[in-house]
Amino acid sequence: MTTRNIDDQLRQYYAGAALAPASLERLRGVLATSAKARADERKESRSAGAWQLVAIAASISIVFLAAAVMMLRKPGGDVPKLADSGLSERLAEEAARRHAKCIEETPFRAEDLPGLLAQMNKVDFAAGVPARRGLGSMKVRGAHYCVLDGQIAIHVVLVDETGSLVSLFETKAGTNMASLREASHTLDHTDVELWQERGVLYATAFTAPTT
Amino acid sequence: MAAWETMTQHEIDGVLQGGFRYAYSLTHERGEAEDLLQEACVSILGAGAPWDRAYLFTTIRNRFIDRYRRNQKVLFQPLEGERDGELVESQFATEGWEAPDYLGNGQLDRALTALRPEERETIYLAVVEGYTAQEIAEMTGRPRGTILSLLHRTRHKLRRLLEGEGAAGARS
Repeated sequence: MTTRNIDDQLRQYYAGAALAPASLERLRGVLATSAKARADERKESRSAGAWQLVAIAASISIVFLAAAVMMLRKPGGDVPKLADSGLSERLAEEAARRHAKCIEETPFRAEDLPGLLAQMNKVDFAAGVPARRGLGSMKVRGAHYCVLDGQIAIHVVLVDETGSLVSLFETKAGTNMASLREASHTLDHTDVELWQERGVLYATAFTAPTT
Repeated sequence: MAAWETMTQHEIDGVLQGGFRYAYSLTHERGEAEDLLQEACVSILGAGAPWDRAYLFTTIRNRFIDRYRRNQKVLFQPLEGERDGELVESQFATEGWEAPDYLGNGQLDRALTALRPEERETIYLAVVEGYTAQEIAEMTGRPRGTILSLLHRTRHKLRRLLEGEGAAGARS
């Protein structure tokens, strides 16, 4: 009896499992239609919402800047780390604070993360499901727009397998973040992780339940 | 980020075929795999997300999990007694064993049907796509040790299934 390596047989098996020409043609049509619809939608939303978005982001940034300045000038208060700590610490602080205070704000709802992010198209970066950490498989509670490091961002609230709430933040990875590839911090029992994928800065915040 | 409009027909077809095979490794049913692929493509384009193979695989996987959750099916089961680091990378890379031709008579197809989705997925990603244990761990959100263990067990299970059926066929 002739024998063949089983891995080769597996490869040959899956090589034979190809899309039929008719199915491939149908999918190409679906892609073309979806891409055109997306392009038209972007065109419309850009012209209508761009200035409104800039105004909102600028207002929020001014409020945060003012708050930061006041914190720094406060004598003997809590140690303000905004000015004298690095970028990743600053981002981690913002993420931890928003995770603690804004986690109930979920005006955007959807069954899954791609569906949720598809609704949130008023951002200037390609919001998507990060490839790492298995976040895409968590249950989605909802999301809202927010600001991270002065930039418009998305705050998604997820529920992990233990029922704990996990915050996922997405914002454009600006040029000032080029050196920030990956970082993690623990602030007030909240674990914050930061990383970049395809020009998007991601952050997760999670507070371990106290026993 | 690759925009789908800038890709050649050949490149688009390559991504679609790769996505279909991955979806098929999860569902082991052609119609369902096509549906999953279509849903994932529409979702990616709708979100303006990057159009690449890894992202498509992740989206397909998420859609697959959602579908099964909706249907209240048990999907990815924990492995009993697994320990991270139980196996070493060299075992992961071990080539498959020499075996009779199981393709022609449909034995391999029947054996793959008997595997669980995560078993088919892992063996597909490792053997057909050539991903490392670390890469599969990142794609699936599982620890690397679990992937190594899962692949090891899946190989044994597949062998049992194929040899068992072969022996039954020889006796009849």
